[in-house]
Amino acid sequence: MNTLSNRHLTGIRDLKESDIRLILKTAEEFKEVINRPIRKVPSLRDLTIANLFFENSTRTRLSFELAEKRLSADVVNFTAANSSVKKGETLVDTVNNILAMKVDMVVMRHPHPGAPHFLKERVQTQIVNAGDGTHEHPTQALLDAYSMQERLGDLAGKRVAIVGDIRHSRVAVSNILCLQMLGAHVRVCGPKTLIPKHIASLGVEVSHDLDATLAWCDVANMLRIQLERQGGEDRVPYFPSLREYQARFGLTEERLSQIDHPITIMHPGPINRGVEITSAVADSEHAIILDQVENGVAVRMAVIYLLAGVR
Amino acid sequence: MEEKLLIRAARVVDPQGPHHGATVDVRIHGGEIVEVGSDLAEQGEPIWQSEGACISPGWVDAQAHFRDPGEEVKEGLEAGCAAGQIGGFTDVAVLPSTTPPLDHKAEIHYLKRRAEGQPIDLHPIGALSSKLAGKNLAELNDLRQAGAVGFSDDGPIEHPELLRRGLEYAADFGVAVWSLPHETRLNPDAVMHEGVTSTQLGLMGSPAIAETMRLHRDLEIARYTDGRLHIALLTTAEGVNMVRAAKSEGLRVTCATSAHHLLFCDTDLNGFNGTLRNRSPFRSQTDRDALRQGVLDGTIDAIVSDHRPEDLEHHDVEFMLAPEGLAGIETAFAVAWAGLGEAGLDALVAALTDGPRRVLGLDSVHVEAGAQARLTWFRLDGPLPRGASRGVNVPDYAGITGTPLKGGALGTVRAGRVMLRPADR
Repeated sequence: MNTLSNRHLTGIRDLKESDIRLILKTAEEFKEVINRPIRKVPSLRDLTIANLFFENSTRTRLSFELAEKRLSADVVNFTAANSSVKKGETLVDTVNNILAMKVDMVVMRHPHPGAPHFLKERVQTQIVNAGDGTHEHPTQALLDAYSMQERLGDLAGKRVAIVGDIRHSRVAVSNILCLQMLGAHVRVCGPKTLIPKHIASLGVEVSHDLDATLAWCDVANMLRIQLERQGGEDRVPYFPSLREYQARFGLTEERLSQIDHPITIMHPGPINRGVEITSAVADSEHAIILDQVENGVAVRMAVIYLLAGVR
Repeated sequence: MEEKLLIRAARVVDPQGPHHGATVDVRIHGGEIVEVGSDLAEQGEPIWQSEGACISPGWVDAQAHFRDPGEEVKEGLEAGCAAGQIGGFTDVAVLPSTTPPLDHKAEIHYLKRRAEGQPIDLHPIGALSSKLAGKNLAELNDLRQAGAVGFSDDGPIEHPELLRRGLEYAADFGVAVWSLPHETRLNPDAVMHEGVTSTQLGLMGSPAIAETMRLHRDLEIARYTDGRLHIALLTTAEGVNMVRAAKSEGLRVTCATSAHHLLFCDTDLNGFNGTLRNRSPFRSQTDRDALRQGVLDGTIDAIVSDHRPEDLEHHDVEFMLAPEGLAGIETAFAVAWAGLGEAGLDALVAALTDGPRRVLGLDSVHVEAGAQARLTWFRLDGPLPRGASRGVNVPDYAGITGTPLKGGALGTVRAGRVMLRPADR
């Protein structure tokens, strides 16, 4: 099999295990490409891609844009801040306006869960979900899996902990589904307030003890604590203070020194240094945070390249 | 109007009436049932006859929204009344959450006047609080005098004192105060039931206790005040248990659920089905099964359409922007029928007739000679009655449940007016 089973990538739930393995294998080839002196292939010279970011995400957009450009696609960028979305235009109208200018594929980030699923039923284009609210962020999960494989080899039987704000994370569900399809065991760890009550129904373990979790896992994926979750009008904060969060769930050198087995530390960025992870850990040999960023370009090249093949 | 009619060979579904279960002919003249029997002689009147048809007292929808006044583009009184008749209803109670709200006798008079000549009897539900603001009581006596059949803010009553004073004050004239038990502050971001599906979709969920904690409070206040409380819409298994216990204790409480809550559960929202977004969320399969049981054993008095029509512009949007509520007055019978199944017919009809009449304080009606002719003539199979409602937020029933809905009204008789549904005219 060298084609994907779906013409969109709205979530890991769209993919079969064979799709994931195909993407990861293809990404390996593209990683070699982007490390050549000439980091560009002519594969998609006839393709125009629009990056539609209805929510700011500079690094994800840059990663997609670089991936698209290295495949020689034509790229246009759209962000909600300077668009007519603010004037009350509907999502479908906005996208159809862009598609009328002969765009072949849309990469979209949107604050609302389900926005790409809604759109794919209503517009004639291929859609890549670059994050829909608190739902999925499939390319992040794929690049995480790729980075883990690169470090650990086959993920079957490997233990992966996802630590932090599971409730508001678009990465967690995608990561869980992707890692499970590759045979890994997944545990989520964080304060009970930041873990959905029914998360165990996805087949993951749940822990509220970071030290025990570190002792258990081969990989710890430290999610960003979103400072805006600290409350607001009429809202009770999810935890009392960053200080206390850091004390219970921050990954420190001291915690790492308690572990007597190799461990890989990941983070989807951007990092709050000193909150979920200290600088010493983030910059240590355990961390593959910048590898994730590099692999992100290769994985997104693979996704776009393969989707272009099922047009 | 002196219309005459002979309904031939219809099976009577009227659990509290004298002819329940019999297949009879019914002769109607001058707004009255003049004869019920078999093989009645024709007297030149129009005849309704359809293989396998049933007849019951006229159905009552105790909770619908016609978006009138204020959002007529979504429905409007005329379309709403026509849709109600197509759905088999002879009587429809409409919610006070209009613009302006039904918080003053003038608005009640306005609606009652405009409903004259419409194919259903319209029963406005008055606002409990002025401007629906949840603070001061509306002029409940005035509203009652004008014809209000209940007092509701069409939503949760946040302040316990408002519920207390409302129940105390309204007790003088025997009209129920309506409460929707739902604690939104437990998770202000909730957009569906909290469960496996909400976790998979990355959506914030409202747990079942959001209903039961409020229901507990409401029942305590009802017990304390000895007031007449109506629970506008139950969604949980535990809620059904609590109302069952309250009734057996002798509290003056009635309750309803919607036809859609007998059919759908939270897993049906998979794939971000925005049509099923509902303020009273579709909950687990266990909850749905308990609601069905609650109808079968009579704990749930009324099955309502909770008709909340939307126009295309408001409806066809992303899940997170989708309005809460469904259109459903035309299909309510078929939806509930699909939910309850064969064994549930008597209970279903009771929850469309005697039950809602109890809730709204309307006199009971039966299929018997000498009674007023207020009847619904219907089938248990055949295509859905559709066509008058402007509401586009109708779910794709067959796509969601795997089976097309069937059954519905063929015609209604009310106050001397006999009306077939338009498709059959």
